[in-house]
Amino acid sequence: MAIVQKSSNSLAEEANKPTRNPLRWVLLLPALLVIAVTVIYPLLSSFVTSFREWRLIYSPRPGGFVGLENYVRAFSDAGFLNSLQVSALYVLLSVSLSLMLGLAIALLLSKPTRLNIFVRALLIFPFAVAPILKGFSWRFMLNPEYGVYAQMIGAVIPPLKDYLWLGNEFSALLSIAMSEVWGWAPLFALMFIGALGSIPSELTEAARVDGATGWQIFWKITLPLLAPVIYIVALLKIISSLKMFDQVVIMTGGGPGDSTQTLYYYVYQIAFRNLDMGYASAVSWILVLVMGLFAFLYVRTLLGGRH
Amino acid sequence: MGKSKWVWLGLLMVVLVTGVASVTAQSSVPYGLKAGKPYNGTKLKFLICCLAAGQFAQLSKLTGEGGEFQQLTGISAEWENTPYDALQQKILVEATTGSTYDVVAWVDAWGEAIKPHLLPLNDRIRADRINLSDYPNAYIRAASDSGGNIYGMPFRGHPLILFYRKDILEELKLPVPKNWQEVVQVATAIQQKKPEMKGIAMYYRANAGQNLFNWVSHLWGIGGDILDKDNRPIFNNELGVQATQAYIDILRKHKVTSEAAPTYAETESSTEMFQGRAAMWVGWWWYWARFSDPKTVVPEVMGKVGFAPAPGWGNNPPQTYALVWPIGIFKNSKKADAAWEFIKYVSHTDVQKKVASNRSDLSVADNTIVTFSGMLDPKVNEANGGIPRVGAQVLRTARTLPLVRTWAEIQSVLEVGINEMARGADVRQTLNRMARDVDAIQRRAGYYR
Repeated sequence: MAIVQKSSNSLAEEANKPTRNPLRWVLLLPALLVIAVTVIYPLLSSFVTSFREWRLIYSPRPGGFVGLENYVRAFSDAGFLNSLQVSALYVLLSVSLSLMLGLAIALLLSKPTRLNIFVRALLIFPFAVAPILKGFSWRFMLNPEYGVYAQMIGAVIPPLKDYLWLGNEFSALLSIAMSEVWGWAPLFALMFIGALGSIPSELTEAARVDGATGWQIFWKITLPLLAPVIYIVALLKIISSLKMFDQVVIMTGGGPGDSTQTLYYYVYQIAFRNLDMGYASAVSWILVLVMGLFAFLYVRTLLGGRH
Repeated sequence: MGKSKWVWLGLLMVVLVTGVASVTAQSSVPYGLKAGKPYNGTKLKFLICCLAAGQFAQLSKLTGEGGEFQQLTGISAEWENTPYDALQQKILVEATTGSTYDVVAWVDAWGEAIKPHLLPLNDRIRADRINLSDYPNAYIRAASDSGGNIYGMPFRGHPLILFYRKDILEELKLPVPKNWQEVVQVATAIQQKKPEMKGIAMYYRANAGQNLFNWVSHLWGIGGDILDKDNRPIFNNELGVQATQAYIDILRKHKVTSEAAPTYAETESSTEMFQGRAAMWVGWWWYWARFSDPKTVVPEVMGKVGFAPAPGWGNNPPQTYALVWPIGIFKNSKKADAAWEFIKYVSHTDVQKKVASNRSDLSVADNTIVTFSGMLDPKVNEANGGIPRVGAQVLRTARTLPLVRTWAEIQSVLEVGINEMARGADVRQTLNRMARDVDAIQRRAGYYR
């Protein structure tokens, strides 16, 4: 038995050793090529463009280098600063609501009853809906004249009857966030259900024997043990929220005024409406840096956890 | 005379008759097209979008393989159906670096960046004796530059029309409004008598510049303008403030439109009319087909929608925005002569009439037509309920948007500002801020050097 154990351990060690076989590079080459063409090259190209003056309405080719001018312009551009604020508020709303709602759903469905298992299977559906469809559906449902959500909310909270959900700065952003939470919270719930299942039941049983209430068990045991999963999920959602674009286009067009112009939407406006490619590249790179920070934290946490 | 001489004479006669017949046949090629198929076998590539539009669907069939145009000229055209949102970029890139396409159609406001890459058509227009006065001035202006060069022929265009509920106005004995002041009066009267209905469906949401359509009717109607002759913003002067205040007052002071109008674009506001919740709406004339479609409107609205010229200001003739798609030839095209034959065909009044009067297939029926002679044609009007004639009336005094390269940026500033005012921002202050932003855009673009 000991010999079998030893040989299986040495096999595992052997498998984990970095191989020197040059074939690995050949096998990796197609993937590396795809990444180089679709990710590395556009990133480098836009980085170079961000230091140049290039307005497509004047020239098909990038103009001269202007140093940091495009970056300096961004930080004195009211539109960019507004979109930074909007994105920050949107991230805060969508991440916190998705986490809270996802956790609440997970706690409700954590017991493996037949009904719960059936409902868990349904949870994946909202996430499977395309963002653009979410936008159209929510825009329709929030219409004050014939929208089903608007009518339901008006029936439950009479002061909100006929409220223009997409006509007010905060509620428009909240509506976009809700359209996103609607898809993400159930997905998070599934992740949390998995994490809840891995918490040893002895811990909660022992706490209960010691007289802890359900609320105390949640705060002192469940939540701390879920913290690593919450952290990873939050990072993932922050990255996703920073990319918010589809529902903005469909539901509000960046309005009312410019109150829902997220960074992504603003970049789209500059690049593909105003055709100011140099400036759009600079703003994109600011976004890349912000997202890169969260992506780095996410990957580091994931890999750190694995090792 | 010997027998052989008679044979020769007979042969000569046959040749003469055949020749004359052939020349007659060639000179009778319709639509001003060149006789003798000199470009036989040429295949053109046409950069365009939106083939779902009935007019485009019909014309693409007429000019494609086996279509009438190919039978007459031997030329066929392949219509590249580009998504609308990608079209402007694709045109710019193609215009400057590509040589894939020969012909292009563009939206008026994009024109200033595109025209330098197109062939001027003045000589061709002159040589083919094309009557430009048959096309609305606004359309020709949108296709020209400040030097008088014409880069495109009008191809598809729209005037703004006031659609109204005939039954409601008749029941309440109200006149069809001719200007915005009357619109407010009529709308107020309708809401007093029919509180469940909005007087007019308006749209103030920022969405591809749609909330500018009725704003410029106010602004131009009162004598104001967006930019002056040096391309500096002047929409915030006294006339601009007065016009904008009137435009916003329809929503905020007179309350004759849905409170949700700041969140409505063209689609939502027209839905108000389709579903019988509003008595009037101002929009493009092609909506007539939708108002006549039982699948689009509720039964109580079907057949009860009338139309009139879009309202103006006071007693001044209405000056509304006329949207046009000119069609031109890329400088890079190696088939410019064949491309010109194609342009002549699709913009010819007889072809346009044929398309506009064809209602054999309702899925591609389209009342859109760009020539005055077509708009006044009895057959075209009979097929389209008379709306082409009303469109002609509007287009006599209609205008085009400012022809500046920076229009896309300016439009963003204007539409966001209008939306803010619709939500209660002070009109004068907002206009002043918008003017400063537009001024900065113009300065950055080098307009004041």
